[in-house]
Amino acid sequence: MRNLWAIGRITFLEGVRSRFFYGLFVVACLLFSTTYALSYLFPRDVVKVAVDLSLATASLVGLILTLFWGTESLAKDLEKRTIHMVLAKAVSRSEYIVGKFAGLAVLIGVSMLLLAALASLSVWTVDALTDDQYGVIHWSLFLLSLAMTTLMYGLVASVIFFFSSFVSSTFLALGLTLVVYLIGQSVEELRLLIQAGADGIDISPMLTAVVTVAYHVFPNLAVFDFKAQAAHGLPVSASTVVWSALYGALYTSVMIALSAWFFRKREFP
Amino acid sequence: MNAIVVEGVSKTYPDGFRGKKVAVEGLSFEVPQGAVFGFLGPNGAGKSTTIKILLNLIVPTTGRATILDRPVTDKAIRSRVGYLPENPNFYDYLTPEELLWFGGKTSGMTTARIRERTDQLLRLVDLGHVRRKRLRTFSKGMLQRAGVGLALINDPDVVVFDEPMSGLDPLGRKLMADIIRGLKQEGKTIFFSSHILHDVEDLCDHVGIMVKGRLRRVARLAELLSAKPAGWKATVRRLSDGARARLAGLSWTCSDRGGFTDIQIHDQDLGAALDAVRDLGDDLVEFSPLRPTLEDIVLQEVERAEGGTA
Repeated sequence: MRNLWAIGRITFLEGVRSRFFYGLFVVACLLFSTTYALSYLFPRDVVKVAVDLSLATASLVGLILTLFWGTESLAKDLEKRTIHMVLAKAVSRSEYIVGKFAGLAVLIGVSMLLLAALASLSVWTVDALTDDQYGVIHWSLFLLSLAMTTLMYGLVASVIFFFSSFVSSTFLALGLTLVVYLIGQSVEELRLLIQAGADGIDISPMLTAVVTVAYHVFPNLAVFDFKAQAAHGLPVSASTVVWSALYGALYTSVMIALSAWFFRKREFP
Repeated sequence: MNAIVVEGVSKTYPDGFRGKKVAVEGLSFEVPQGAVFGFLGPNGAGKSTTIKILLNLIVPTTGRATILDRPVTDKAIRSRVGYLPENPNFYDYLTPEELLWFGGKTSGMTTARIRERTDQLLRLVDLGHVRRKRLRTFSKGMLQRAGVGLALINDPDVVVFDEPMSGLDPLGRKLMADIIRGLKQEGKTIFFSSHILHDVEDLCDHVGIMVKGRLRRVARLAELLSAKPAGWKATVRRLSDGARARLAGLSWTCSDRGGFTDIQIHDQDLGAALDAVRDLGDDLVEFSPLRPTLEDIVLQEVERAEGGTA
């Protein structure tokens, strides 16, 4: 536990002090500040559009931060050989992976909190300046959507760790994670499409099998997407939230366990 | 008791589809507790590979290594070891204080003890004035010194330095040499690799010479450097006619060097040479035996290995 705390702390400090962090937050502020102007392009749904835009901005900035830090925190340690000085201490490889991930998870959490504050401020400003007949903000759904996005980025970070634990190139780890992210975003739709079938279209059993396997292997990131519910005020059941959170936690844990397993066998010449 | 024991260690890497590359082969040596062991050899000899095996960063293909009687795979032993990598790379946005805190925490030290050691070590490596500055603003020499602080935070019994002098200016090298001497006085075991043979001669009491992945020689430095002299060398300001006359008929050579003349005299002519030297009076600057230096010995081993006579 002592080692996890030490590694987690330096990972967090290294991330939160980087120029990239501040640079991206300046960009985030600029993007959030455009919410008001862009929402008024849709006069009848000003508030809905503001909620949608704010959540999309927070998601985009959060994704960039996750991908950047995810690759930086592990792959850069390997590339710059900073890992030598860490593993030369009384630290096991598993502790290194788990500690690094814990630090990164806190970093993502803090960043998403800041982004949530900026997103809330931008939609609150739009709401305050707009008549209620153009929509209301469903705050609980809005915050739920941001919380689930945070959980999703924790999962994405664990996928980066998984790839970084056995590939030697930072770009390859990033590329593979992006592929998983894109598949994860659409795998549920694909499965539903195949299950529903379509008139006049023959779906080969092979394709059905491939999509089914992909559905079970790749993370289903659609379960974390509550943006539409937040924008339109659609009801969300507690069980859906709990199952999504459990799914995220389980998938992330499996990824980190596999990363630690691969990492134990790795050498650092 | 031996602080470090390496027994029959080999490390091979796959090379292409079927080939294999031997990094180190049949390595066996011991480092007694309290010794300063210089690990020498040209680039690519396998020095860093050996060091990484000692720190469990690389797993040997065959053989075993222990530190203080515990296998190097046992992570607990690393809380009694300090390591300075060659060209240390740390986290850019941390400060020396935070770096040492990390080293202390992962070695199981208490916060109070970490604070106390941090003060001592930052003073020792002359980084006290920049203890809260980010490491990314540090020069190579400063990073090296921060690395020394990190290696020593846990007051280790065994210290492993990989090329600790490389890239340092004369002041930095002196500081590093003083630190190694201080550690030796405290009874620590120091294992360090270096290209700078003058420093090794100065600091080590044992040396190992690696060439092409094999340990060619392990010995006490005193044994290596105490071979029977092959001859004698006198350095003089001016070679007087009297001295020249006495040397006539003997087997000697002379060469000029920046206002001085070096005379090399064969061992069998030592008696007559001493008479000649006595004649030189104040013009004599130095008279010493001609023994192979550490550099000569290392080069000899490299030549033997390259000639395949090892």
